[in-house]
This record gives sequence, C-alpha cells and structure tokens, in this order.
Amino acid sequence: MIPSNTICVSQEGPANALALNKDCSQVVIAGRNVFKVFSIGENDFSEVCNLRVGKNLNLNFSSIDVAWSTIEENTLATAATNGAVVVWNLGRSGRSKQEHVFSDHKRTVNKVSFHLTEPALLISGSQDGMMKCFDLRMKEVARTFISNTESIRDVQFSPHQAHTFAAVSENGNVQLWDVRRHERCLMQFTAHSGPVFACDWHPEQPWLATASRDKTIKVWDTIDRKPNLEHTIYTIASVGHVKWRPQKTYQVASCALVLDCAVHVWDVRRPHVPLATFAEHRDVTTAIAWLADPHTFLSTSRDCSLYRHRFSEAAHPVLWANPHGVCVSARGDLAHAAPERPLPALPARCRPAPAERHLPGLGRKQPTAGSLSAGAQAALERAFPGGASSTLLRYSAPPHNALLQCAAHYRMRGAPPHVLAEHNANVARANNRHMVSHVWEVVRCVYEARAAGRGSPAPPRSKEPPRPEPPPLPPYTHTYNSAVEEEPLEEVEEWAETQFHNSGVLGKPTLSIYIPPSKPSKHARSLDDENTGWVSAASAHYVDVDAADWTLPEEAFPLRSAPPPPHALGAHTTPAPTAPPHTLRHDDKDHTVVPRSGGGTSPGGSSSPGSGSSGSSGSACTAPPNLDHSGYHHHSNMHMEEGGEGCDGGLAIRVGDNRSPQLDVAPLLAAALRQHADLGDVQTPAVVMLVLQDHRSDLFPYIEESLQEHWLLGYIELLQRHKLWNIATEVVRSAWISSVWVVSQQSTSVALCCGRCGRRWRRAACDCAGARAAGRGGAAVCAVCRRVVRGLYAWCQGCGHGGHLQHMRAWLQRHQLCPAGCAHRCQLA
Amino acid sequence: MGELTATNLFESQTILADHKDLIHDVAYDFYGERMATCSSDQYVKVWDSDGNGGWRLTASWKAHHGSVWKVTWAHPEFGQVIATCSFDRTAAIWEEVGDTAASGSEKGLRTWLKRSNLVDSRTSVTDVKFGPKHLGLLLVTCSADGIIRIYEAPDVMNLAQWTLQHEIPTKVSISCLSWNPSLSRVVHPPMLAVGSDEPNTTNAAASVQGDKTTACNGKVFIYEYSESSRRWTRTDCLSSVQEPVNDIAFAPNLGRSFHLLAVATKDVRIIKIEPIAESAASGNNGATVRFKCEVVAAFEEHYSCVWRVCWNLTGTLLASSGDDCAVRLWKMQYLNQWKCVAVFKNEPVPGDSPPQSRPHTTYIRMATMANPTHMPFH
Repeated sequence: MIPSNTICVSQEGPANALALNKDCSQVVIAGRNVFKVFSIGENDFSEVCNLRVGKNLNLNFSSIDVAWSTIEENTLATAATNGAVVVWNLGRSGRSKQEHVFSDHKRTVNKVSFHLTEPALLISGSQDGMMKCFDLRMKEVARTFISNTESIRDVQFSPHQAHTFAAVSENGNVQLWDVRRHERCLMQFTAHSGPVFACDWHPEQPWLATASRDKTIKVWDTIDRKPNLEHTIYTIASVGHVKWRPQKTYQVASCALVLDCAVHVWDVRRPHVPLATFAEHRDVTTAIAWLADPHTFLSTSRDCSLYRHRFSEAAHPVLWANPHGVCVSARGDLAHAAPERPLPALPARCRPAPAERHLPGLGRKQPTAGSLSAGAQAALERAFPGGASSTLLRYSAPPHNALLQCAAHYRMRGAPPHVLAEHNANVARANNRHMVSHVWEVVRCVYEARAAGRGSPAPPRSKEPPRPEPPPLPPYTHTYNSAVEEEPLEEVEEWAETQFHNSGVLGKPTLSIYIPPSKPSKHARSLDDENTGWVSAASAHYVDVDAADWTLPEEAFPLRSAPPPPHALGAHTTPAPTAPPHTLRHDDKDHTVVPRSGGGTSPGGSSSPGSGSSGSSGSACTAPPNLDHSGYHHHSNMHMEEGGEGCDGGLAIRVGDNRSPQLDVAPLLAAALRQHADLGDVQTPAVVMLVLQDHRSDLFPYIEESLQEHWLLGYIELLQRHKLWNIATEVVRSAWISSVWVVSQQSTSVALCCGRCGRRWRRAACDCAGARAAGRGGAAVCAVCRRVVRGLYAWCQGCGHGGHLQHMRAWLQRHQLCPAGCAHRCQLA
Repeated sequence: MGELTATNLFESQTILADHKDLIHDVAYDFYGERMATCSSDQYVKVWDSDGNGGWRLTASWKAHHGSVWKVTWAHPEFGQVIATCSFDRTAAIWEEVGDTAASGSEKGLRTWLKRSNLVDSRTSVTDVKFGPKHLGLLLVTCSADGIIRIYEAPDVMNLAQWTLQHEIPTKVSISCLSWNPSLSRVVHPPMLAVGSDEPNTTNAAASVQGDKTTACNGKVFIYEYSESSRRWTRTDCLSSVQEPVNDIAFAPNLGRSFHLLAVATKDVRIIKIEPIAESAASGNNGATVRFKCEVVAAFEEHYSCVWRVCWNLTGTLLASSGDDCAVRLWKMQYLNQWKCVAVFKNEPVPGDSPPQSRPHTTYIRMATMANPTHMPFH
C-alpha cells in the first residue's frame, strides 16, 4: 500500500505536533494522548521512549505543540492545553522526564519555540494573546510580550537576526519582536484577511511565510522596515502549517487545517499548482518537519500516523492536469489553449511508464505518484515555475460554408417534388456538393417521371397526403379567414374535434382550441351522409368562429395519433374506432368506387382546414377521381410498412406500369439518405424527405419513424446553431412527424410589439404609454400606411383604429379585420 | 461542408488570455459566439466575438479555490449558464446577469453569479457536462475518486436548486466524460461515456494475468439510463482502450445509426459504437451485449500523450491536441478512412527563455493533402 521509501507508524492517538532533534535522528511527537520519541531508521521508526508515563497523567501531558532544543541534546518543551509550558529532560534518570512546568499562561499555549543560538531561551505563544520568554536556567519568565491581539498562533525565532522573533495571531496580524524589548514590537502588519495559523522563516532569504484560514500562503520580505509581499500561494483549504523546503529557495510545504489531507509542496513562483503532493494521510495533517535534506520529511496526522515521505514518492498534480484545451465551435472556429513552455518532464512522461510498472499498486487515486525518475523530477522542478503560461490560439475557419449556403437556398415546399429537387440540385452543385446534387437529381428524375406518368400535372397535393401537412402561411390572416369561410372545402375535416392543448410560453397549458371544422365537401356529403351528420354534430363545438384566432388552426394541427371520432368511424366502417389508418384504407379498398370519401375519411388522408385553402389545393380538389389510383399506390406502401395485409398482392397488380420504378427506387433512395446521414450530412436526408412531401411515404417502409424524427431534429439543431431561425421554423412547420412539429407549440413565445412605438407589450392588452402619449399629441397615424394623417381621418368606432380615408376604404374593401391587427372586425361609419 | 478544401487556409489569431497559469479548457457556446476559458489560476474568463473575428474579454472572475479543470456551456434555452469544476472538490453553476440585450458600449458590464455550488465530491472534480437539452437541465460531474454524479435542476428557472439524482460509483479514477448528444429519444436512451486515467498498475505479466480475471481492463465505460429501472447501468466497457484516458467525446449525432466516440489516450482513437437491435441482441446471447464497438481509427501521429479531442458540429471533423503542442484535424475520407487533413503547430518557446518573450510567432502548416478532390463534400 505504501510506497517503498515511505515509512509509517501508528500510535494510539493523533499527534498535534512533531519535532526533530538537532541531527534529525530522532523525532518526538506530541498530542493529547500521545507523547513519544522515535528514532528514525532506514526503513522504520523505532520507539525510543514514551514520555507519557507516571501516576498522574494530568493536562500537562496533553500537548498542542512540542519543540526540541536545537542545541541541547536532551531538552524538550511542550505547550500544554491547560496553559502550561513543560520542559522535559530526556537525560533524567527514572521514568519521569519532566523537568519543569511553567504555569504562567492563562489559557492554552499554542506554540513553543527555542532560540536558535541561546540554549536557555524558550518562547511561547498563547491563546491569551501573550508571548512569554522563559529562561530555562533561572526557571522563570524573563519577559512577557503583550500582543494586543486575542491569541497568538505561532511564534518563531528568525534565523537571520538572532533576537528577532515573529508572532502571528488570529486577527490576521504578524508582529516582529526583539526578544530583548518587550515594550513594543518592531513591526506589525496585517497579513491576511483571516486568522494566521502558522509562520515559517526562510532558512536563507529574509522571507517569512504565513499561512492563513483565507486559504493562502503569503511570503513577506521583512528586510526593510516595511514588509513587502513577495508571493501569494492559493490553496484549496485553510492552511494549518507551512515549512520551507531546505536548500530549495522557492519551495515551501504546507498542510491544510481542514478538508485536505495531503501535504503539498509549492513553488512560490507558480502559486496555483502544487509542485508535489503527498496524499498518504487519511485525515488532515497536523504537522510537518523536513529532515535536514530536501528529499525527506516527516508528517503527523489526525489519523494517528507518523509518516516519513521521500520526495521521490511525490505525485505531481501538474502532470495529470490537462495542459491543453481544444474546442471547435459551431462556426467552425477552433480554439486551442496550449502551454507556452511545455514541461520537459513530458518526454519523461512516456519514460516513466515502464518505471511505473515496477511499483506495486499505489492504492491511491494519484495517477502519477512516484512514477518519475529522479532526473525527470529534477527537470520538472526546474521547468515547473516557468510552465505557468498558456497560449490561446484561435484558428478561424474560412467563412464560406456550403452547408449554410445550401440551407439558405434550398426550397422545401411550394412546388412538386421534382421541381424542388431540380432547384435544390442546382443549389448543391453551385456549392460544390456534387454528391448531394446527385441525390437531388435522382429524386428529380424519379418524381418527374412519376408526375409525367400520371398524365396530369398532378401537384403533390392531389395525392392523399398520408400525413397531415401544414399549409403555407396565408398572406393575411383575414383573407385566410374569409377563404375558409367562403370556399367550401372539398375535403371533409375529420379532425375538427381535435382539442388542442397549446402550451404557452412557459409550458403552461394556456388555451384549448377547438379547431372549427370546415364545411363538408359536397362530394363527401353526397357520398356519405353519415359524415355530414357527424360534421354537423361536430359543428356544435364550433365556438365563436369570428372571435377565434384564425392563425391558430394551422399550428394547432391535428395530432396524427388522435383517434378519429368514434361515431364517424362507426358510420363508415366496421372496424374498431381505434383502427389504424390502413384499416380504413382497407375498407376503402373494398369499395373501390368511393374515391373522394376515401381520401376524406382516412385519417392519413385528412388534412387541416388550412390545407384546403393552400394555393395548390384548388386543382387538387377538383382533380378527377382517377387520382385515387395514385392514392392507392401509396397505401400499398403503407401496408408494406405496417407489415403487409392479405390484399397487398392484389394491390400490386392494380398498380400501373408507370409506377413500377418507384418501387425500385424507394429502397435505394432510403439507403442513399441513410448513407448521407451516416456520413454526417443530415441536411440531405432531412430536406429530401421534406421535399418529397406526400411521396415520402414511399420511403417509410425503409426508414423507421424514429430515424426520420432524428434527422429532422438534427437538422433543426444544426440550423439553430447557425441561428438560421427562419429555416429551422420552416422545417418544424413542414415536418410530418408530430413530435417534431409540436416543437412550434412548446416553448414558443410570440413577442408582440406596439405598432407605434415598437416596444414590447407586457400583457395581452396594449397599454403602451408611448403610443397613448402620441395619440394624445394628436399625431394620428394611419393604420395602413403608418404615416401621420393630415386631413381626413377615418376610424372604426369599434376599435378606434383608423387612418387615411382612402386607405381605410381600400383596406376594408379587401379585408374585414382591422388593419392595425387588433383582430377587430372593423366597419367605417 | 467542405471547410477544408485545398484552397482555403485556416487563419490564426493569438488571443492574449492573460491567465496566470495553464489554461485547462476552452469551450465555445452553442452558437460559437462566446468562449469560456478556465485555468489553474482559479479564474474563468468569458470572451465574446465582436462579429469581425475579434474576441473581447467580457467577464473574468475567480471561480474556485483550486485549478479549474473544465468549463462547459448550457444550452442557451436555459439562459447564459456555464458550469465549472475544480480541484477544490466542487462544481459550480454560473449564470450571467445584467443586460444581455444591451448593445454597444453598455455590453461590457456583465457579471456572472454563482447560482449553485455542488460540494458532494470528496476529491477533485475532474469533469462536468450539461446533458442534452431534451432531457431537461441535467448536469453530470465525475471525480477523481470515481463517482459519477448526475444532478438535475427540477425548475429550469431556478438554477440555485440542483438535486442529486444519481450517484454511480465506478471504483476507478474518472478523468473525463461525455454525454451522447443524440437527439433521438426513442432509439437512444440517455447515454454517458466516461474515461478513466487510472494508471495501469499491472507491473508485470503476472499481475496482468491477475487483472484479467476481473471483468474488464478497459478505460472507457458506457453507461445508459434505463427508463424502466430508473437507474444508470454500465452497459459496456470498451476493452480496446487500455491506456489511461485523458479526454473523451461523442460526436454530435445528427441522425446517424451509430455513435462515434473519440478517445484521447496514448493515441487518438475513433470508436464506432453501433447499437444492436434489442431483438438481435437478446437472440444472440441474452441481451447482454448492447453495442458493437469497433475502433475505426487510431492515430499515433502526436507521438505522445494526447490530451484533448473535440468534434465539429456535424461529427465529420475531429480535432485533437497532444503533448507535441500541435492540433491535428482528422476527417473521414473515401472508404471510411480517417485521415489527417491539417496540422496546426504552435511553436513552443524554448524552455529556458525568459518569460517576457511572450509574443512569439506561430506557424501553421497545412498537412499535405494528397488529392484535394478526394475530399468528400459533406
């Protein structure tokens, strides 16, 4: 479990502190329940002496800190929790080594520290805010230093000026004192924004490192009268202890007070990433002490263990930190962040791989712990401080993007498939996408032949649409309205009763809309009386046609999955009311004499009220019944899709010769589209499927619906990423899959702006102050031409909108609704 | 898309990021108009495109108390939201506040507020990713101790509240993860791929044999969410990847019947994961095998450890970056062969040069393209 060069010993209790003797051959550890001296062997610790012996183990044995005299071999001092400073003499005969107890502090003593050259001088820092200098020969307090702070957490003599010591306190201050002068300190400065828990003098530089709860280690230059902040190291947790690494000017080890169990060694020149990490401890580390050389240190932890770490066992977080960042944007830009000076250890990174093998399982989550050779580690140490900078480079792609060009110029509807395909083929070719263009050409050929074969111009509408398809937007809502009202639709609206839950902006159901049924066709009525009866029954739900927002029906499109009204089906066919489309069709097939009603009553063939009003529908509606033939063909495919029916063979015979190529082409086309999708070009399959319009059902047997949905969603996302909202919306609207076109209802918000001031309406009502002010100002604006009216101003009494008399007249000759768009049915007085 | 025809060259631009330490991640937003960088200096910076090819720093803040490993953008539908994860064992969710609609000079004042801090991990959080949009506002984190955590914001308007939905222990150190971005809910259940950087502790052949008794020695795991059991389960382990994995990325799946997974390990690998139809799988061997995995490409051109992989929008182009400090672009050519199509070499400053020599030259070399007409136009 433990790397071979690391040694460990467990004790009965956690140690708060440790101290080395002057030749670093022995270590003393002290805590509340433990006080022992170990000798440090090559491969193990051996207990030399247990100082926690005797009859009355009082609080004097419970230590916060321990210090070993740097001069006297046998002299130890501990800081006890009860405020006592206890001096121990290892040379005493007998079990008890206690030499003297100074009970001068009122509260817990946090730290004791020996003078580096005067063997008799010991200093202590206490929770009571005082430091006391003890004279061990006189066994008395020589001087008391009053810090004027609440508590002193650490005191340490400077190695550079014999009589100076530093004291850090919980209010974030650092004080430097002359040990001979207790009146006032030499220097005082606020070092941290939180309590300072520890300090350590640099062995060579006049630097003092301070560790604080504000998660930083700061390095102060104290050579002048004024402290100078040289470096700040940012760690992830409150820093409990800090120790400079001997012989390494810039390196300092730290351990955290909470949260982080590891010991980190930092290079002060690279303050954010530890150079090395030692994560053997299972609980927070309480003390660290370097042996005389820079390659070994000891640590004690709250997990009751004492470790000796070898620097060669270090993990180097910088090696497993990802030095590169790469990202490709939706625009095709590429950003690359790379280290300016890659670590030279990186070639060594590959080398340790075999070295790694020699190690036993580390049992730790440290990818590279102890895996570096000595040379690599040295190289890393050298390069580490300079490796802190990254270059951020951006490679911008050339602006021309054929995909976008195609997206922008493709036509997806408004013409028969072969026309659209021809156009799109040209677009693709113009953008150098010859393979795509080829696909389009194939589509064009196939459907051109079919359209010609049908013997009529046969716009796609003439076929029974297998899936409802939204119509193009009418130019004016008003005309749309009147169109629906005035031209009786040829197709029976079966789905009139579909109740639609329109999800509003925030996904709340806002409206239930009854789609008003259009008037039944005369055809249908004559052929199917039951239907008429039903429609009239449905008309009972026809709520307030005039007030209804007539722009809605087209987005409130019949759900494909909605079952047809039961009584309609019951009247028409024998199968169960929930029969799938092809059942109806099947029924239809039996009476081959019912061409129109078949189209009208099949749910697949039903269309929205809007479809009747779409531009191409006129010819479709009046198309002769022979079109039903082509309808048949469709349904034969639908049968195939749904597993085939017994009558399928019969249908195939009926299919004319001119339609045989399509049976061959559909699987090929489907395969081609799949291939394009697999190659990462989702545009082609999605747009081809859109362009095919009603013919797309040819492909349904070969492309499962989930895949179709996937293509559409993929293409929509692609467009959205390029902010091609209009095209994306068009795709959504033309989609034949319910889960796709409901996108236009989910989380779609329509922002209304005031026509006058252009501000957004907060509520449904127009309460635009600016507009009202403008109105009061007398600048009446024509609702038609948007100009200020000078002269005759005519307005509707009902809604108050008006404008130039001629404009209003002209408008109302053609329209019924208010030109201002308030949906009022205006009448000029 | 033909971005890489022979005639056009990528133009390069150095952005003075002014991070004080290594930049660990760069992330573009959904539209590619904003960019976030994160660094070991504990700062996150957000850059906005000015529309003319320049990038302007619009926000910079100290996000964590440790190295910030990854930064990632949420779908813009949820607002301007990023998530970061850090060595300090937390992941954080940040939202931009301020007048995002303002234009011109007022645009400079943006602040990012920490909406939530996810502190469940006991070790460094190595990666964080938002889930695909159609699953709602999901966030997944992984940590060095090998626990994958999936959070959900039940209310997308309240980014302060994240509930820990799933905790998946993996027992190995996880360095990276990737959501399968497939938009198809029906065919592809929510899927995650995670990569482990656990070193191969198998020292000798003997212990290799010992490891072979364990289930799988691979470093890439596939997890899938089962709607019926409401659990994430490991459905596959790609045994072809045996070396520590540094990065992993699913290609955007816009209607493919299979998934492409790029893995950055000792080399760049592209793995094709083909779901096996339920019926076929159960017919074969009791539905234990969910995927057919095939390494379609493995490139060692970086000659060193590969750190990052990233796909373009359509999953047709893969960018990878390795210790050779070069970015290589890979693209599928005819016959489904993946080839290197470009190399961007960022000449590193020699190691011992003084740090002030920061403005350095960068060279771009386009790789030789054997025959420009062989580029498929997709």
